Amino acid sequence: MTAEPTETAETATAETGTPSSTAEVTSEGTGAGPERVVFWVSMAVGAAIVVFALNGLRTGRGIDRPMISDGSIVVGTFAKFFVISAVLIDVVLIPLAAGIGYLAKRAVPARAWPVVRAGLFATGTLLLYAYALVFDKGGKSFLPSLRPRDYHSGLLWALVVTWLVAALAFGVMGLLDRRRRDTVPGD
Amino acid sequence: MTSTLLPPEVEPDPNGSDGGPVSGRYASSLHDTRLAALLGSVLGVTFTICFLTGLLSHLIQHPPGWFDWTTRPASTYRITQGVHVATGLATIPLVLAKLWVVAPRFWTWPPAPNLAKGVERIMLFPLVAGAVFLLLTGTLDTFQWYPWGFYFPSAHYWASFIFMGGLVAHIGSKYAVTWAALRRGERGGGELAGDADVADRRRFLGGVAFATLAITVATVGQALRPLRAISTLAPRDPAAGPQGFPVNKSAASARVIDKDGNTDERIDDFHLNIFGKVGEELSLSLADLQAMPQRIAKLPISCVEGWSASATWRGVPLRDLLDRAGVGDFDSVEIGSLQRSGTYRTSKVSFDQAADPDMLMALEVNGEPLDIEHGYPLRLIGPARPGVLQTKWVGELVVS
Repeated sequence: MTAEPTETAETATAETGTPSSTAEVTSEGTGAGPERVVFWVSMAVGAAIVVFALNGLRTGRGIDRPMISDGSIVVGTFAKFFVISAVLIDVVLIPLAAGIGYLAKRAVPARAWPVVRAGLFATGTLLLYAYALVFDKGGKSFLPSLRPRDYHSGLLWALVVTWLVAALAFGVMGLLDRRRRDTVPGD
Repeated sequence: MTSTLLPPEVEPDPNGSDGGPVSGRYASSLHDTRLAALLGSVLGVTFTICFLTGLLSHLIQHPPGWFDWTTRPASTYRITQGVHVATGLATIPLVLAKLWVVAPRFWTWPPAPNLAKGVERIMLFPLVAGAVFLLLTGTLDTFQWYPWGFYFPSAHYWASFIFMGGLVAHIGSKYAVTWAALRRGERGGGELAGDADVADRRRFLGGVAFATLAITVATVGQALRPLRAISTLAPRDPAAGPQGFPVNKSAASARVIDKDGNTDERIDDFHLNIFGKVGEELSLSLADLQAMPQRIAKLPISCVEGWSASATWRGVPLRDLLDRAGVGDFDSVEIGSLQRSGTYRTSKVSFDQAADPDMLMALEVNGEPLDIEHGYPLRLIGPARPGVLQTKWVGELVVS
């Protein structure tokens, strides 16, 4: 694919009435003059900030205990965790969530799907968050005021309330829709 | 047709489309530029809030020469750090939603058809990896789970700058398309091929808001005491602990008591030593301190992990102790703990901070002598101060 001039959003809209789905409406460096300048300046400034941060990590500046104690080992651990974060989310978690959503959508009536989707999304968020609490990862056994609750029942309550609210929302929204249909003439 | 809150009663498309144009194998029309723009704008706000409040927390704990933190209002740090953690947790579902919406762009081929696209792609790495790293490490810190080999405060601090570098680049590359998408109203178009209708977008965003609300309600009670009963997943309960509020650094881990619960001899024979740039070096016993005029102040303990709890403290104002030692002009007072080691074994109080009458050397809390876990026999407690700087088991004041 060769580099091609890109259109601004206004140009695309003006020419076709609706923006073309194939037009690259972006602020990228191949766009109009000011946008091109902004693009490259922001890339340079952004990269400079990243370099500043990497140097800060290396020297431990601004913090009492430098992260780099014996050089490569700690740097490698940080880098590994950093990379794993990106890989886990884009390659594992998002596709997994999409797959679950795809399957769930086929099992649920279309009318209920938005509410079920919201419930599933909240459920997934809570499960992801509560993993360490429920499976008792980390923590300090000699510190009773850290994690003082029963998180198994806490998670259960959170999920029950989530789905109760979702069900209530479904009922209320259906009721409001029915009233709207009944009061709007010629619909 | 009247706009409805729920979808109309139609059979689902067997190809899985929500209606509108589809994008290859991505059947959902919700992979939509306007949705990406809306979520991106909100994320820009939430991450900026987290960055600024986090930077403030860092500056307070590790002040450069030009920085002197105020003591008023007394709840300032409680609010800023509470906002930092609550906003960070609320951002989790927002990031997940945004990454799902733009997922088709992640898998485009070729990934870099030109130099600009290649640079943009490279700068997406610090943005995405940084966002996930910050949310992951920040959340695990609130659990005090550290499954990694680096020092969390340093890593989290510098990773925030790595992320901000990615954010600056991302704003520079997307501002025009974002502005166009937000201005276009409800019409579709832009980089993503999805073209969800108004109602579908609003239902999707409603779901995202619902997830954000769920995680917020489940956790925010660790900072907002009235909500503690419903925050069933909060790692702290602000009312749980000796004398009615939590402990972060235990007496055993500070080694001021041994494994059998016996207190260190320096506590049994306690004296507060004041020296340095003083008119007269002092060594005050507990009885000496108790005999001095006392002041009562209601102040919060505000932890960097986001939880906070208020208590009523009684003790000797720091400035009164300094007056008694004949201290004139000074830069700062180093508050030294009897704990043997630790990053926060000492803390500093500046000249202006020490002048606040509520900067106390506390002997009692909530009507009782301090529990050993809360710093018996003496601790520092001051307004607008992070919990790690509210030094416990204080044994010396060094004036410089």
